Amino acid sequence: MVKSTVSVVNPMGLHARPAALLVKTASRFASRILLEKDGEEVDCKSMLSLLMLAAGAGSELLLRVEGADAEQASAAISELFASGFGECEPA
Amino acid sequence: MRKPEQTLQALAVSPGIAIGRACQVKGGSWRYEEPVPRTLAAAEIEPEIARFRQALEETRRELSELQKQLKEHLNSSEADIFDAHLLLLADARLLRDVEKHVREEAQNAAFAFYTVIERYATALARMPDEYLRERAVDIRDVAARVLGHLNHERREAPGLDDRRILAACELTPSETAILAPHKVLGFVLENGSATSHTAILARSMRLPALVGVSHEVIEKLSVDDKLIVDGYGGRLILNPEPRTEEAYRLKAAAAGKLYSDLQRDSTLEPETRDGFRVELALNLESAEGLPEMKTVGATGVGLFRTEYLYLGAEGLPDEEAQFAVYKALLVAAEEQPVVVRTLDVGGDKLPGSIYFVPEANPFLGLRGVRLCLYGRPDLFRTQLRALLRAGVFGNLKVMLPMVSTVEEITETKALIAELQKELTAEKAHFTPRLSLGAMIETPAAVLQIEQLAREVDFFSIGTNDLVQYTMAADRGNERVAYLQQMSHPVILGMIDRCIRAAHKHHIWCGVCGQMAAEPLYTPFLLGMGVHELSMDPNSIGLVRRVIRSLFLHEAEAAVAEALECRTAAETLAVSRRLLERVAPEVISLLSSSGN
Repeated sequence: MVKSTVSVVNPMGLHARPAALLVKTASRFASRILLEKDGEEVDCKSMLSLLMLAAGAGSELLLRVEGADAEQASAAISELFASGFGECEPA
Repeated sequence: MRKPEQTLQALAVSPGIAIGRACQVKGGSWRYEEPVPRTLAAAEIEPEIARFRQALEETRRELSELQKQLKEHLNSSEADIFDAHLLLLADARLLRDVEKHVREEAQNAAFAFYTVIERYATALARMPDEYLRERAVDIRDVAARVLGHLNHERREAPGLDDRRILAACELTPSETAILAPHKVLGFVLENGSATSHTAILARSMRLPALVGVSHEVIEKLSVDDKLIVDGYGGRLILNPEPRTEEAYRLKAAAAGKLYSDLQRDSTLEPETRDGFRVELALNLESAEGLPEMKTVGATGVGLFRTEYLYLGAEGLPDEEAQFAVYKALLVAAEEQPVVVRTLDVGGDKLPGSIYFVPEANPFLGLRGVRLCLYGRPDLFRTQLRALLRAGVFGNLKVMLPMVSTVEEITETKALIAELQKELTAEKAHFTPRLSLGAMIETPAAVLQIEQLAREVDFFSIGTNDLVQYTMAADRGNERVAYLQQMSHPVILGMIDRCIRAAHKHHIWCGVCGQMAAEPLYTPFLLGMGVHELSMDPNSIGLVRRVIRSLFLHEAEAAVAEALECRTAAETLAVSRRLLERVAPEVISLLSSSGN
């Protein structure tokens, strides 16, 4: 089990597009990938669940990854959060 | 009998003018209605689930195809919206919920699906964050498609014989995409906002769009009603007289040409014919609009509002969260100046989570910097610490809203010095020299502008509140709406006084209120010597055109004349005369928007 904290740095928060990116990235891994916010834990491979987290800009989430490729999955997801889902870069 | 011409105000979310007949899309061409519940016999359950899965698969194929088409039409990332839709269709949680409902309640898939979708969509629609609220529309949009397939309805775009103006209470992104661009002239909608997907799509398709048109108006439209959609001035004209229509036709042609010229000109320097430069900056509600800084040729962010950080679903943002947002913004702005306004709540938008004491006159109450210093100093400390730390990543300027005394500045500076000591002790990385400015929006600040100038690095004038407080007339009260006179000589005099003081004390002065976005005021602000104008992205092209059409001495002469005027109408006439001579194309566009 790999545990870490990730924060939502893109100013629009975890809306549809970032959530879609997360699901796509998470689905590349076999591991179970969970995100927790305010005690609510959801599957990172479910679009709907991610939207329901309502993680706005600045919120912090606990990332837990369990499985054979946990290290790689955790790194990829953390990277996605840190990059602001590509929304902080100029066009 | 001919129906009378009628003009209605609406919010323009995509520029352009469309003239044509209406096509009312009732409740969306993709009907999303509650299906009739039906109880299944035990033997029907598994086949029903198989049918449901097949409907999902058909929808998935259809959406992929739509996405592909859209990508050919638009070279933008708007087609990515459908990525989210496609992933929803494959969502394990959704499938599990629906199948569970079918099995446990023994009800038909359509009803089960509708029930599950509504649970999520309703929850999303209630969220305080606008972006998430808009996702409820997305979910219902996808759901309508699935329901269509479950009911074996073959769904096509409404058969339009010619190009029409679409009127609907609400349009979903895929409806917008499938209809446009070859069959649609423009959009008239009841619901939506500048950030809804339909508005974004309308902009990328270069079709005019209005939102905020009342339900009653849309419902009453019939197919033969002729409409004019004015996406420049935010007007909807019903049953225009031939004369009105002809005028708009001419203006539409001129405006189309003008806007494409303005787009081409976006790389030109914002300077007068004799080389005096005015910075053109963007007002941003969130960093969502930052990419537009380059497309419209803005040279910075003149007003970054931080309220959304506090008003979201998240509760109050801590230092790290704010630091991350400011840092990302500054890095993305690539050394261009970014003016961040500290928390400006109070008045009409005070969330209970920040501070709640009922006030008889909230606009004259604990708002802006007053609230930060004397109501919630803890929040102010957190925000300033985050800003000090983010300041090393770009060209940050911090602006205090609602300043009315010198002490509000000096106390903030003392607090900043104290926080800098704290950060030094923590061996944190922060900016030792924070550029601090005052937003000028109260008469008290204007009357004491010289004293304030000695204390800050810049001013930015918030004209909307300045007018409200100077005229002593509530912005939201229709009965005193006639007093919202930005062009009143008294207001122009106050702005002139601020800009003069800034020059005298070698600091810069910008304008970030509505006045900065209106080309009729550009000659005045330019002539007064304003350093920066900050506005929404749609206005930058016109303002740049006005600046580039003028010599500085012409603008200065207009200011001298306007300051001698007695009424708002007289000052406007001065500016209109000047622009009719140097930039007639701008004036003709403005008159079409009734400005």
